[in-house]
Amino acid sequence: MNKLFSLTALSLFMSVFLFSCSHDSEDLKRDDDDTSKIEAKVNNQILKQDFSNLTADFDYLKTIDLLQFAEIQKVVEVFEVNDLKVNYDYAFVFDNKDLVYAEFNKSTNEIIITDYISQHPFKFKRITDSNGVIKVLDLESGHYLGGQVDKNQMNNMKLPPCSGTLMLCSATCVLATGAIAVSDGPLPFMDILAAATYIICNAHCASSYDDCMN
Amino acid sequence: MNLLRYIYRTNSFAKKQNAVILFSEPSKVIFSKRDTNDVKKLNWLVSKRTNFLISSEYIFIGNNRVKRRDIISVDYFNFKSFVLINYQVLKIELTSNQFIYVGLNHNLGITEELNAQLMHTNKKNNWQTVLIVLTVVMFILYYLSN
Repeated sequence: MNKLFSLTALSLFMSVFLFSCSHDSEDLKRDDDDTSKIEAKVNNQILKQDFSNLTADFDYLKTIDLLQFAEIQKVVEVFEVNDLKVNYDYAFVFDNKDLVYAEFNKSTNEIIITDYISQHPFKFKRITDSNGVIKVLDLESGHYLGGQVDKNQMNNMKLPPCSGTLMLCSATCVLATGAIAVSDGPLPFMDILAAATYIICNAHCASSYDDCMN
Repeated sequence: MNLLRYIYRTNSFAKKQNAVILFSEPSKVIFSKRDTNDVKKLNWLVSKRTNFLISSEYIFIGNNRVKRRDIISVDYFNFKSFVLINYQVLKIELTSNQFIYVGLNHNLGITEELNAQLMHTNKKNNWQTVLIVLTVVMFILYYLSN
């Protein structure tokens, strides 16, 4: 019975361990709801889009969707990206060929006009800045508005799920070690095997979640 | 299991004894007044890790020495671990109504020297053992792949 329990426990926690380790820390998203939404104002009407299930590198709004949502048939006159400024490190406008026309850098609070728009100003008519608010005029329907979170910054953040996963990883190591030691208790070699398992397992936890240990 | 002998310093321990040592093995030892044949249920986690030596007159268990004439009977149980190592547990009954349980690697010479009676053997691998080995292999593969 003892062995049955220990073997079952080891298998269970090894499975949990493998499952928890299979989630790369880069996949972690910010938890607050604000970052899962892009809020934009089109002709004084607030539009929101929920990106709660988004896993791509960046969030974006397709302007044609905005147009349909606002029931505006032709031209968007004023496009403010207040929320992008607050919740995203970078905001940018790009077309369906991935050509980026303008970027907003949150850390420097600057609008960066890309080389492409500098060389082809006729492609993008006007960009204005008013008190830190980006205003993109005459946004065409084939353009996208995107917001991106700086992944380097994300990785440096201390996220509760990260430390929780580290604790789970370490706890799994302890339980796996105990289960191995108990499974064939009378055999002296099991001590070595258990110790080796504990060291390797914890080294793996430390290397996988070193961001969580700072 | 030279690694075990090195860690336990079995050879140097045997040389220190003032007797001719017939057999020596690293072992886990439990001193108990409980008489049981269900030896795997004993608390081996907190058992004493020491060397088990046999001379013609004594058995040496760490710093303890037991006269062989004080031994009433010796039974042994054979097992196979999930890492496929054969091992055995000796159950030594003393005249003082005490029992010594000794877990050590399979050593036929020791059982013959002590005239031990085979009580139980379990060398079959069951599905739980297969499961645990598979899990450990998966873990190692996962670790190496990263």
